[in-house]
Amino acid sequence: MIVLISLHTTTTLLCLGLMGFIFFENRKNPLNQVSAIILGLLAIWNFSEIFADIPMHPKQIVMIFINIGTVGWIALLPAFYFLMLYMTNKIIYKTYLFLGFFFILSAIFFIVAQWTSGIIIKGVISSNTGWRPVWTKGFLFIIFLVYFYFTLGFSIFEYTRSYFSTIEAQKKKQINIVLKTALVILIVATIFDIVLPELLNKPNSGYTEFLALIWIAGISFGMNYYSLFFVSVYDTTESVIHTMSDAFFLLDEFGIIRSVNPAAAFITGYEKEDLLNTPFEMLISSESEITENDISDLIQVKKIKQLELELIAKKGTHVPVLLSITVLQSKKGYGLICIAKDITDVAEYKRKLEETNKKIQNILLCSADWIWKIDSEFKYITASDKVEKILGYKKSEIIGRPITDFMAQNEAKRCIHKLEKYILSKKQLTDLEVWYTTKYGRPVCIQINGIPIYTPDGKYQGFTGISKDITFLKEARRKLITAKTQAELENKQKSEFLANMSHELRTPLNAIIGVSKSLSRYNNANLNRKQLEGLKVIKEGGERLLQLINDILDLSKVEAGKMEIDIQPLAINDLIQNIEELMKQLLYNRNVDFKIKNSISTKALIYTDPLKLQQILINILGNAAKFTSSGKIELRCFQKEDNILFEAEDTGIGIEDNVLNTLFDKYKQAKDKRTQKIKGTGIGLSLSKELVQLLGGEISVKSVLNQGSIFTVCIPSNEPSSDNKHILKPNEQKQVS
Amino acid sequence: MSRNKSVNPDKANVLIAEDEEIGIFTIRLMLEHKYNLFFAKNGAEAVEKYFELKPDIVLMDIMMPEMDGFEAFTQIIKKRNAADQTKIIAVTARAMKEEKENIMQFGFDDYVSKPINDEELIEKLNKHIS
Repeated sequence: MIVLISLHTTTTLLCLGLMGFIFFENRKNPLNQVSAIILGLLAIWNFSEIFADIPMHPKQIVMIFINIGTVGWIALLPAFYFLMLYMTNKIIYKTYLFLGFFFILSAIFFIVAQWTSGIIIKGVISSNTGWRPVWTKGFLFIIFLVYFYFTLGFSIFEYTRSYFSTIEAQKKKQINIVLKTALVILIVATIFDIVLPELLNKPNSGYTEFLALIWIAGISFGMNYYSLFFVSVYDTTESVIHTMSDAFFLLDEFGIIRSVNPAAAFITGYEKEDLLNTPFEMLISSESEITENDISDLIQVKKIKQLELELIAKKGTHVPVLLSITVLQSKKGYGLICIAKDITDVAEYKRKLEETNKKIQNILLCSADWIWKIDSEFKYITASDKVEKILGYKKSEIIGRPITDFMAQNEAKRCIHKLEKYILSKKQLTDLEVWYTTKYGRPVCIQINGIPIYTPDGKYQGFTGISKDITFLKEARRKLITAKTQAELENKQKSEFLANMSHELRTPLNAIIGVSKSLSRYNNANLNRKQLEGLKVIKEGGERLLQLINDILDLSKVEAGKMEIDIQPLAINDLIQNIEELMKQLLYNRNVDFKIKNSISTKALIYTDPLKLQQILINILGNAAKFTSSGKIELRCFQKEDNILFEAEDTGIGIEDNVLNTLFDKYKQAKDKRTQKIKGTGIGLSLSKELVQLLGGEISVKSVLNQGSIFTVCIPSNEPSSDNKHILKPNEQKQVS
Repeated sequence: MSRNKSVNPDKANVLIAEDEEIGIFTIRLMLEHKYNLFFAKNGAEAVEKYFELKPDIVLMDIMMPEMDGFEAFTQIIKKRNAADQTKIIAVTARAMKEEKENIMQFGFDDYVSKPINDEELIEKLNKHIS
């Protein structure tokens, strides 16, 4: 008796402890809630049994405890039933709610009946063991047995079903523990507490209470090993669906949306409430329809089907998605689980990739170069069609053959050596020039740009590159170099020729001028007037030839870019004095007046090349003297902004309009019949123009036929900045101007 | 060419290296009334005569057969003793600017281009005859 009391007390305490633990561990989880209720009822039942085992009087007080205990274990059955349903089939548990409700009602009925009249159990006081409950054998007792065994049968059914259903392994183990231990208790309790006492007409043994302990131990074991009650399957699945970024739709067999997750609302742009109870078809663009065949296939094969299609969002935009559909089948019919993955990005990448590919394809088509790839043995793996245009070989003719087959003799070794170098250094090969031989034997120079390819673990795999036919360029370059060398040589020869010519002309001129001059100077007493005049003519002729040679040499120097400019400060007064003196000699004994009108301050300094400037002015004034038989020549100097202007005006024969434009052109003398008797070669003016340009200035002419001409020379007078006061090369000078 | 017939001790002695007859004639006309003139037909002869005659000044053509003016100049400078300061003037038809610069850089004491301006030449002779 003491054993039974302590057994019941222990069980009661254990039940209460476990109930508290399970309930407070995760009170939101229905599984925990139901389990806590079961354990609470177990505690009530065991608690009442403590008093049932103590021999006490009067009988009515004992009966109260007996009734409480009976209520406890009758109510245990529907609670346990709920637990089973919940664990074995979550999704359709609502359909069993009605059945469960029926069980609750029947439990309440039994409890009330028991409490009021003790129909099922009646207490009997035996002499040696105290009070024992005895089963009444009325109609209600039979109903009770049916109720009791139905639960037993249903437990076995659910237990078996869980083995063949698609429930995940974790859940299976949990069901295994809870139901197995519960079943053992139900069966043993039936035998020891109902069947045996009835058959042998003996009081029940008390084993049931002991077995209840085993059940509690089983649940505790399950908690330890299979995380029972802690992470519920319900929680995990639901929260995964809730948080996943892919849209989730649960459809019934008519294609009506019954459940969605937040991602579905986000992707489609609709509110969750708008989506529920609407046909899924509404979201699918007409081009991509799911056919009845697809669904019947799905039902038969029971696999996941994946489709790429476009969902129509609320805004009307099309969202490309990857739709995974699987069928959820039950006895009532089927439903569809649709998971839509937004592949807008993927679709965009795909589109861009295609675009890029197309672009590359186009570039390859337009390019005259050919693209190739070789393997590690230098054999062609791929080649673009353009190879035929360059080498004459068809693509199919070169694939599989080593690159050296197509190269000119002696080139193969060099090329392979070079490629190997780049393979070792893993560097990009640029502009390697190799001579190939075409199918028809013509040598072509190929420029190769390429890069070695390696496997991810760094093993050499091959080479890929672009080859360009540069034979034409090569030839052009060779011709250009030859031409350049030739031109340089010719230029040198020309300079030498000019120097020699100058020398050869000066030697006889030296004699002509020197002798004529000396004779008239020192020996005039012995010569008559005619002879002296003759000497003068010879001298003048010689001097003109000398001037001509100097002009030609100067002009060729300017042309060759070798004329140097020496910028120095020049006092305008010095210039005017020099010119005046020279002009006086030139116009000696002539009926021509020469005047200089200077409006520039005599102290002013011009920064220019004094010799060149003087040469220019003497040249145009000399011309004026040449073509003016009577009247006057006037040189006007004045400043205009930063420029110095010289105007040489004469009253000579003037220049015809049609030659005015070409007056300064090289090698062209004004073709005026009248000038033929007047001396001149036309070199003077073109030289003057070149020199003025070297000084950074301009020369121009105005003329009226038979009235005279005005030549205007305009040169800059700025002081050059300190760093280019040195001798300026003509090129620099041009840049300065 | 042998020693000139009319050597006037009052006049300065000028050694002229000139290969061309017309050049010789021209210079003779210009200078004979003022100086004692001695002619050498090429560079080698000029060197020889320089040390033989010890002239007061030398007019040296550059372009001459066998030995040119540069070589003759070099040999004279090399062979004469340091105290000898006799001036050597280049007289040449090599009249381009670079050529003149070359000649002056080479070490000639002065430069006169052909065609010779007699006034210029006489001025330079007077200047250089010590």
